[in-house]
Amino acid sequence: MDTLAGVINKYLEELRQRTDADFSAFACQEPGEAVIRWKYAVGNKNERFRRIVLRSGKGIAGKVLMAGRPMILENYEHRQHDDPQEYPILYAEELRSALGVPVLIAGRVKGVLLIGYRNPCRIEEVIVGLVKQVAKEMENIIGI
Amino acid sequence: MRQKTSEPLFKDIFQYGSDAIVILDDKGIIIDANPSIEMLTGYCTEELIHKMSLCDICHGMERCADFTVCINCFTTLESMSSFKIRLLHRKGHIFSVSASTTRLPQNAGGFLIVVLRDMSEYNKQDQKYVQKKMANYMIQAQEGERKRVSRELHDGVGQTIYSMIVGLNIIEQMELENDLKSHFQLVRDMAVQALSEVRHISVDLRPSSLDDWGFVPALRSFIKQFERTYGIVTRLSVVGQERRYGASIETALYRICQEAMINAAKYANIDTLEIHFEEQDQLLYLAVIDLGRGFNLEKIEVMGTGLGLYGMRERAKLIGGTLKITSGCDHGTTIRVYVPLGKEEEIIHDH
Repeated sequence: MDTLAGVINKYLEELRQRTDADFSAFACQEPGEAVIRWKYAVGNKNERFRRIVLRSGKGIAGKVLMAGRPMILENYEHRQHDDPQEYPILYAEELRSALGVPVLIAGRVKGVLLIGYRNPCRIEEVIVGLVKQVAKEMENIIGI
Repeated sequence: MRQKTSEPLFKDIFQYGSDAIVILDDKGIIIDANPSIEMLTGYCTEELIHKMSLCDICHGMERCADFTVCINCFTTLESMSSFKIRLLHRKGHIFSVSASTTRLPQNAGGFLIVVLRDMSEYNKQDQKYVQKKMANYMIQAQEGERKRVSRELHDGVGQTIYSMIVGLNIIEQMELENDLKSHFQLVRDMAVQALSEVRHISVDLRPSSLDDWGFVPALRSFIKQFERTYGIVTRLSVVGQERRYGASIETALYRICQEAMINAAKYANIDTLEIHFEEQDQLLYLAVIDLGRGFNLEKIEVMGTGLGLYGMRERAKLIGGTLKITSGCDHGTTIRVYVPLGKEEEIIHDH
């Protein structure tokens, strides 16, 4: 399938395998909407990610989108006093470590590429570099 | 003249009294003790009398905020009433008992009579009572505070931002240079964003719909928000006609339901959630049912702060209701709340 969805899913699956992650997803802001949604995912346990709607600045995607910088969460403990609303994708997919990287569309941060691990693990610099590189590649496709 | 009580009666009092009585000589050696001491300390009288000193099992005394060890030891003082000492049980643990001492006059040997009384059961009850009172107080205080801040955000800050947006809209209608216009648009968009944030925070703290429209409408809008936040499809079934209940009942039901739903979202690993609410024969029934992972009720692994379940129980108790949790591994979890309607409904109206 050469549709945009097919291409993005292929990218996500490849990224997931190369980074040895359990889950990989792409979120973006719909044109004209203030909210962010997870549009594509691979390695998902359920369909919850599709229904999650993030307000700007909320969740990993919202934070990455707002700051325009990668965000790393390592060994995220559910017992922490954090508001569960902060990172709903971690709960939906039971992730313990995650990395979100901004994806630029037409020079502005419009999307977020995420990889997640269900084991609490450290996310090495190499992995961050890899995800950043894939985010760059995706920019060219989605940009059209 | 009072009739003199017979000596055997004194002996019986000593023998069968429930308070432990220990008699010490001037060196602190136990020269006599009654059988109750065994219940208290685990040592039998034979092990104690003439063989041990009270100091061997005493780990200091407590008086109000004071705690002292051996300084101003009570065995060196005259009679004292009502203080606490810490004793070492034969099994090795240290526990508190209340004590009082009586110094016999010198011509009667100058012995010190120490009466010890086990207060642990009373203390436990007392602690429970205080804890419950505190929990209730905290729930009330938190709810009140949330209500106040929520109102202030909505009516104060929210209103001001709204006025700003109206003002910015007026400016936009004016004839302005294009780049100035786009600047104002940007600022207006930010103000709109801020207003939506403020409203969200306000509703999160405590939705005004709970006071204005009641439990079911407030729950409906929470469910909408919940679905968008966690991506869990939630179905609410309401049996019977919707009506208003006492403010504290509505608040408690709302909070319990909210807590149960968030717990399910966090731990149950589910796609869908079901909520059932009905009123029947003066009894309210609320159930939050998930078919998720479930947990072992016998040994709940505290995943969160552990306060969630406790808080739900306390809230239910506070309105005269009961909370039942059924859960099994891979069978999902059901939280049920039963609240009888009756006299209480009119009494509790404190929100």
